[in-house]
Amino acid sequence: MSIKSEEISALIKQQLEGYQDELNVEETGTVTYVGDGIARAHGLDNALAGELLEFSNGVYGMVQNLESNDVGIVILGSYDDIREGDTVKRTGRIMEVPVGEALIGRVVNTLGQPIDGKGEIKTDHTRPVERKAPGVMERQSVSEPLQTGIKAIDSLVPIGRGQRELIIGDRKTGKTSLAIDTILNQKNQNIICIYVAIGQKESTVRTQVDTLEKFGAMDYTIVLSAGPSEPAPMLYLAPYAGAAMGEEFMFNGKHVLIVYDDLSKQADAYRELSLILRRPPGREAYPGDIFYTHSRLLERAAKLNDKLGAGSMTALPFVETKAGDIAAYIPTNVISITDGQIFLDSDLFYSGTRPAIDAGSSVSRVGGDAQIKAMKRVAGTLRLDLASYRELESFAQFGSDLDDATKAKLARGSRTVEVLKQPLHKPLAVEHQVLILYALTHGFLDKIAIDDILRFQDELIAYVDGSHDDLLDVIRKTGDLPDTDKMDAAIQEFADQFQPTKVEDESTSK
Amino acid sequence: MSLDKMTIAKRYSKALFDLAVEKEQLEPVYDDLQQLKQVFTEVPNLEQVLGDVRLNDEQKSAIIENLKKDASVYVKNLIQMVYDYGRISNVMDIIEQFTVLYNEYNHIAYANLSTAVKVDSDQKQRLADGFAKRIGAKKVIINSQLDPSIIGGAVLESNGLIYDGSIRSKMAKIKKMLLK
Repeated sequence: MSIKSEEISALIKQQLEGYQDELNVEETGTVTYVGDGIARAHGLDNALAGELLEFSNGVYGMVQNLESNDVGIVILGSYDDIREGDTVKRTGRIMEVPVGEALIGRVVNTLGQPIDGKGEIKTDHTRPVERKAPGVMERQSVSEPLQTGIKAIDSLVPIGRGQRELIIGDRKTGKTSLAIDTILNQKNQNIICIYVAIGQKESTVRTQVDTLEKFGAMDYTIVLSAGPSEPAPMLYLAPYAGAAMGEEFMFNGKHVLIVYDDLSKQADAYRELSLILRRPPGREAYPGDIFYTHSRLLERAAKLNDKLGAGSMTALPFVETKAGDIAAYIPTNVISITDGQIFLDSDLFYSGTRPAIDAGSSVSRVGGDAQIKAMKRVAGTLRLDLASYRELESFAQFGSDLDDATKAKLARGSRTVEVLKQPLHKPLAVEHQVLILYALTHGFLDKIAIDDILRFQDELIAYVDGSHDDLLDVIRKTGDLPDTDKMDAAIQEFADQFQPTKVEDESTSK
Repeated sequence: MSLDKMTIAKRYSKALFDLAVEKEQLEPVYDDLQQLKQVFTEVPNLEQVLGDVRLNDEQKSAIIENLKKDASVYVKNLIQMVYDYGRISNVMDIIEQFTVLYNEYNHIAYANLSTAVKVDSDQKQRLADGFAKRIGAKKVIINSQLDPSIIGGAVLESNGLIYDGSIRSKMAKIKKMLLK
């Protein structure tokens, strides 16, 4: 390729022709205070709330407080070389982040800048970080399922596309793993995933990205990370930036899953900057508008009507509890905003029930409508079974003399718990989930030893996949159960040839 | 909660200004305050000394009496009142706010002019007249300084607004346009 110098100068000439010489009038203020990620500036009489400002060292800030004598500004970047007396310029713009297909597969920060070292993100689309959520007429009710691939969720607390389902639990109860597994299961489901890590250790985020890459999930995922070493404003704005990236896809008729991991850290960051901005503290020292920060964020998750392309954004916000206390301020707030919650219990987690979903206190308020028919039919009684099992379990500890019906109920219950266990990073397709739950509710597992259940499940799936794929095909295509006689026959066929690990008397196995 | 110095300065200066306008004493009060300002700038620690709790009242009163000596009645009262209320450390802010009110009242604007080469008084006058017409002021007082880094043209700064007509910013704009 040869470059001709006259071509370049012609191009520059053309561009220079379009240059308009005009007097540059800028409105400025003077910094009177800097510290802890915020600044106050005197002047800037006409600045608007939420407007972007530029400091003399090139760092941007966002107007948060408009007071009689000065404005409170959150600094979006390094505030080390901003000094008292520096000038701040108005830009007349509001904060926007880059959006679009180019972001998929990338790890970015709150400003949409790449932090994965894979070079520049080439997109000219941007969206404002704060945007009013779609209104009543722009929505429609949730109708399509979002398959998480986790048996306990898809059967007991199903999630629909456009729903907001809170995942709540103590530290180290597998919240993040649940999200990562859900993202892994969205492969080939035509869903774009956004994982927003707020205040998560950089090393943890790195591990999650590695996991996602290993399972090929980065092909449809954006990771947005605001690490704990970044200033509080970045943590506060991260979920809004993620939501803006998701909205771009949603309004283009696509389906989006967005995970906010986690909102309690975002609330802490917002509390920090509100206190430094001298806003009056309320309960637990959170500012008065902490409810609004979360409600306006989660309200942006929606299922749009057909006229707008029927796109959806499903939100999975996380909240960390302290010692299982879901009655604290932030948990109760977010529970009341979302369409249901999945409660992870640390006792269950340490007793080996993983995922440690507490079926009793987990609910999904709209997801039931989105469940496929086959799943509805096999999982309909599961919740009640589990509840009565838990009740009987504590009762049965007192006496050993139980009638046969009770024994059968206990046996079924313990097998249900066993079936709902699932190893890490092994999401199951919905037809496989239906298959094993069908086997459970139709009593095929009652004779299998507890320890053999998961092996039975894996081998059953492999067997039916191999020799009776037509049955699974019916579930996949119609969403309804195939002919029950055929199902029974296929499962019986496999059960007959299943080799138990240890041959022992059924009554001693529990 | 203690009030910040801006609020204090605004309150005291507005009271003094209203009083001066009412009693038609604006010019003498303004002149006195400018002199007072000069005293405080010439003796940089004066504000601190007067606000210092380690000195006793008598020692400070002597200085206050001295300050009041030649002032007109309203400025005299102001000094005494500000001192009695323990706001003597805000005196400079009060004077500054008073000047803002005074300039607003008389439609006087101040501007900082930066140029790469020295401008003569005729140019300055023309610039001041042009600027006064633009912002609707009766009189513009220009304080000019040399700043070779802007290469050419002029930068005018007034009341929180920067009118940037420098070669430096034009070149930055062209650079941005070409790099896009």
